[in-house]
Amino acid sequence: MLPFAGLFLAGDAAFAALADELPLPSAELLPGRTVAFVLVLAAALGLALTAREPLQTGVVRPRQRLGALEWLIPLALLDALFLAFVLVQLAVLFGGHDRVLETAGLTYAEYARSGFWQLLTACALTFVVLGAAATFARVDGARQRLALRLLLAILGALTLVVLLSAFHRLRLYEEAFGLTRLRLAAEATTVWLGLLLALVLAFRRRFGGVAAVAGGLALLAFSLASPDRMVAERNVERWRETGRIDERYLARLSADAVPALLELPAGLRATATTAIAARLANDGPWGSANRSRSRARALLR
Amino acid sequence: MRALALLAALVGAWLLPVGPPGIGVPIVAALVLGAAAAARRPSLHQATLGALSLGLAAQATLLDAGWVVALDLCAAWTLAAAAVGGVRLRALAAPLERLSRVPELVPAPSLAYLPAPEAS
Repeated sequence: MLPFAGLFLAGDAAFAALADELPLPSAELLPGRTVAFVLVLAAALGLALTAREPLQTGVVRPRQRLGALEWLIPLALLDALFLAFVLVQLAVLFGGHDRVLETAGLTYAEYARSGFWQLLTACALTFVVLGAAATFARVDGARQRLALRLLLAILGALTLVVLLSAFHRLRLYEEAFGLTRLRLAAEATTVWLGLLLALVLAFRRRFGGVAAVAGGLALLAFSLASPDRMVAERNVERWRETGRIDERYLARLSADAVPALLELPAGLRATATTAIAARLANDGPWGSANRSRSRARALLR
Repeated sequence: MRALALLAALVGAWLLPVGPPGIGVPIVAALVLGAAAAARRPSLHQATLGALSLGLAAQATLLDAGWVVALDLCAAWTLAAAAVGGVRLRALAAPLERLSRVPELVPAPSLAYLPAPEAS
């Protein structure tokens, strides 16, 4: 169609004049439109062709499996390590025993605010251990099966406590320095890892399908909670309690945060919302229609 | 399937590059998922994953936070790929692999226009 239209436009002045009056899309967006066309077409055809001919299903069985002692000893040692760590956590972080901290040379606040990422990584690695045990452990008889399940269940339960410790540390950090997007995302990740772990333990065989649906639902719930608005609300709440606020950080949030930011007094409100208001000055095309931006625009007028 | 895929691409080219993500995103996502559903009738599990995928894409209409919308769109694609290819890592790359079969979708010329085989 395009070559014909181009030839007719170039060849006939009256037709070109008529075309000038039509609301045709501008040529400036042509590269962007071409990229969008190709990407969406590729996505649609890729998904449709995969749906038409489903992937071959097959389970890869490892050639060599670990004997009972080979998996029993490492798993038992790992359980013992996790148990020792959990006992220290229960005594210090949740119990408030300072005696243990004296040896570490830290204050309670310093101790509690450190180590979040290391703990989260350790919990994520637990999934590798659970997967490896399910794949490589050779189980002969009911006793060995029971032992494996028991060791993995203990590991899962102890990991949940480690996650709880990580979450507790993050909350203390947030109380001291305020909530940011990264900290909120880290909190959500911690909760998600805990949920995933519970799903692994509860649905071992159908884990994949259940985890996919649960993951989708969890992310949907996280999005519907409007993370930027939550960050703004908690910072405003903290400002009410302590008088401390980082309004420059809040100014970098999206239009989702506007309803909470408008609760600040005039000076702080202006700093926090000026950049957002400037970004929302012009109504976009209807394809960009968005409830959050419309509401923020109305509130800021 | 081909018509819906082409329609999705045209609507995507019309709505997506003009401004920040908005209502255009779930419209295009619905057409893309419709093209996949037209290729093969989805099971209940596939339909659930597809609906979740669409729900996540629809967040572009509700939220302005680009980082959340980007996360939602990545997850929407992952769930859509899992819906058509099964819940496994290989399914994520399967739609890209299957693009090599796009030439098969081009209509073949009618036999009426092919030269008749020579009589022996």
